Amino acid sequence: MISIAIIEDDEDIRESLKILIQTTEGFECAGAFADAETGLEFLTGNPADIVLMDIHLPGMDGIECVRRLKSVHPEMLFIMCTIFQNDDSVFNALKAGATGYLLKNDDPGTIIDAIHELHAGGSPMTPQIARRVIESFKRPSVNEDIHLLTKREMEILGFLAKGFRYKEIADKLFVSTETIRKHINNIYQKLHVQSRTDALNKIFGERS
Amino acid sequence: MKKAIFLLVVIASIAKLSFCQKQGQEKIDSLFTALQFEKEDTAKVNAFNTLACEIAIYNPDTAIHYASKALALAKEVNYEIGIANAYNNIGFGLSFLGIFKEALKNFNDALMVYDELLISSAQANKSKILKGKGNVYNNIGNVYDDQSDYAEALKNNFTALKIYQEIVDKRELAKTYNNIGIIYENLGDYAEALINYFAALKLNEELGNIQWKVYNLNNIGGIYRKQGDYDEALKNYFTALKINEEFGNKRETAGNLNNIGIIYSIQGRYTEALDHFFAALKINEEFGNKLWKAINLVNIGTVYFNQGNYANALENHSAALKISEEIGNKNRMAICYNNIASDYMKLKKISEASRSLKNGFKLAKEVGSLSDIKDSYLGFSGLDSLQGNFKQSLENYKMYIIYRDSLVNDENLKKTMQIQMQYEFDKRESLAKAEQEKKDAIALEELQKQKLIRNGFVGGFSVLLIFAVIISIIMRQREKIKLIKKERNRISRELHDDIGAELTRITVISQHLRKKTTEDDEMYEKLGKISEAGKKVLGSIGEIIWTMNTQKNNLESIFAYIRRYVSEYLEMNGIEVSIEFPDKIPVNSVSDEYRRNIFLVIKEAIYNITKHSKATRVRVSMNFRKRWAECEISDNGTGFSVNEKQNWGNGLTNMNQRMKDIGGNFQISSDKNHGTLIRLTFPVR
Repeated sequence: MISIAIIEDDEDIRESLKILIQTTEGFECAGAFADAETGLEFLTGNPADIVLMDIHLPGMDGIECVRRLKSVHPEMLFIMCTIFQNDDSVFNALKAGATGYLLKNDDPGTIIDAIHELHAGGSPMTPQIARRVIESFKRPSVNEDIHLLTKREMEILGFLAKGFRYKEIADKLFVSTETIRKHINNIYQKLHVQSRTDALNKIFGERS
Repeated sequence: MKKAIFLLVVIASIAKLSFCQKQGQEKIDSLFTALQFEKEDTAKVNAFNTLACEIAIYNPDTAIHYASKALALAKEVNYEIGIANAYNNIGFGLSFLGIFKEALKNFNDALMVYDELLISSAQANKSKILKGKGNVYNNIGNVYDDQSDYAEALKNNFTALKIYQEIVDKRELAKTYNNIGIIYENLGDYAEALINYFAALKLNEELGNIQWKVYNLNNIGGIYRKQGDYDEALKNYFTALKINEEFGNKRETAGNLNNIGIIYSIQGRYTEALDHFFAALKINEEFGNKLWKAINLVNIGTVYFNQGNYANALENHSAALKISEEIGNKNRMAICYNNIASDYMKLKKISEASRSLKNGFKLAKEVGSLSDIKDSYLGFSGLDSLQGNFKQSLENYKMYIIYRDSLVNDENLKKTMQIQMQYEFDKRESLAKAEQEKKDAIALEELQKQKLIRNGFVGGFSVLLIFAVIISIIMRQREKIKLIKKERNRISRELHDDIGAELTRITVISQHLRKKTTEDDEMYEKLGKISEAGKKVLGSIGEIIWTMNTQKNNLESIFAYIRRYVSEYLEMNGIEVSIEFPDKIPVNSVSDEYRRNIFLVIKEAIYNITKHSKATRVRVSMNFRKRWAECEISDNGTGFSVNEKQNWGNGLTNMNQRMKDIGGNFQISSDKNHGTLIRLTFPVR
């Protein structure tokens, strides 16, 4: 049983996600919350496997909520719910600790597939996000030797940034699509670690 | 174990300018000679005072010694201005040693003597006396600033400012602006601080005071650093360091080293950061400068903290606290306490951490420093979370956000930009003005000798005028483009936030209702159509937002987007696709129009294929030549007769026009049952 929590301020969308999860075999709804604060408080004490998180919320936003929950429960998985795929905030959410995103208007089937895929360790990535990941690893890192990407990971990011899809990359590198997904999941993990050290590193900067 | 991520703050060593009192500009060697051979006692008093002033910042003890000698001698011969100056210099030395109460007493004595002198002296001497008074007020302001009493400090500095404005003393005005800027910076009002720093920089540039520019540059760099603009900050720091090294200002170099160390820490270059901080510390120890020593120690501690060496961090932060307590600087004490608290948290000494946080918070509130209050809240939040008290942690975190946002908000950033632009503009204007004045003067002289040359100048001037007109047109054009971009951003934001959100609701609700109906229900199909339509419009809006996005405009990113779009779209429609793009796509940046047109033409081509051609295979290829790019889209569909007018609907005409608009070319060839080939060529700039 995969337990899934929802944080989404629009009641209609929240309710239909809730019903979708409740009626899907193998899923259970751990709770549905209208704002980050309530969700944060509940999930801190009662962790779920996966959280479907809206980005723009009243008060604390979804990105901050992910950052805080991730620091308490590193094993919890986050899927950001967004309206458009190319939203800049998606990248920030991925940096904060999310490993996936879905479009709110996706078909119920697509949403369920996305949850299953994430639970199995796969993650989606658009060319824009790939490019930003590459950029963020190009900047001087805090602990150079620890969080660098491997050659293979860089190679995959390079293909993604050029618009190649998982299947195409898998064919080019003579591996399975599954392997590509695992690599991308690893890249996200490293991105989280890097942005956490970045946060500590801002000690002097007071950058908001 | 939960991680407490806690921000620490370090103040950049801010360069404060001193206002001691000297007469004459003699060098120290010649002053000693004067002291030996001068017969006039007043001249000896002046020499002692000047000597005290020259060495005060390097060696305050000795300065006080000389100033006291000046005072004693001046009293003996009843030389009043010498007495006042001596009081000021003694106070100045004392304030450098952190003996603030005694310093203030001496400053007040100096003021009293100056006031008496003002009444009795001749008009001609008054501005000299007023200047002395201004200096004392500035020094008093500095003492209050060192004790974090900013309201009192501002009051005194503004009094000084008024006096200097009255006697039009640009040198002293520049120094005063700088010091007022520092106080605003301490208060967290960065915009107001920048106004004053730039005012000082401007005056110093006018005066050709290269050395003093250093102070302003350092302080401006500090503000940029606080606002997160590290490149701009480093630029200012390095300019300052260069000037200091050129002039051999060792003590000021310590300030620069510290500031550059800070930037290195931000960039994670800890070894270099530590090198710079220790170098700064060494210099400050040499000069017995406690205030700056404390700053270096805090910074060193914080680098150790970042490296995970919490014991060393604690040691240095505690040393800094001790010094700050000695000199009674509450602001620095608050910073030290906050740092120490985070060290303890890392060392898992909860009760010690809690005690330090409370001390820091109390002090921060007392001095009204927003930035320290902010850090205290973050500390409390981290501590609560360490103790599992998440609700309280959240509350404290909210307070942290409130204070943080009030420090760096959009308004502040906007103001900062405006000030900088105003400064650049003024600078250019005054340069142009000076140039003009010089030219006018020459022209006048020459006019008397030879009229012909005047005509030359008139000609030159007209050329200048034409240039000015051209420049103003260009500027206006730029302004227009900026406005268009702004408007475009607004539209895409609205599309995104309002229309996108509502459309999503429509789509989701109809999907939801559809699930409740059964397939034989007539609503089932209709609801499906609504959600499909909603998704389609959302997709289009997403594309519009992408094409309106004014940021990442280069060929590489466009073709990445196109590649993904084409392959997903065709696969969704069950059409096999092969994409042949070169490995290396030039990263040339391109205009919005260029990007939009290329994308829309390719999109239209793909749409036509899925809609009309019944194709099962599509090939999209790209080739880059030196100045041209060529894109081919071919399919194995039914094709059509290109020459028949009726087949050229709006679609093909538009595609042709779009390519023309960006200086490109559109070709299509097709035959019934032989598929279609579209070839686009367009310039690569």
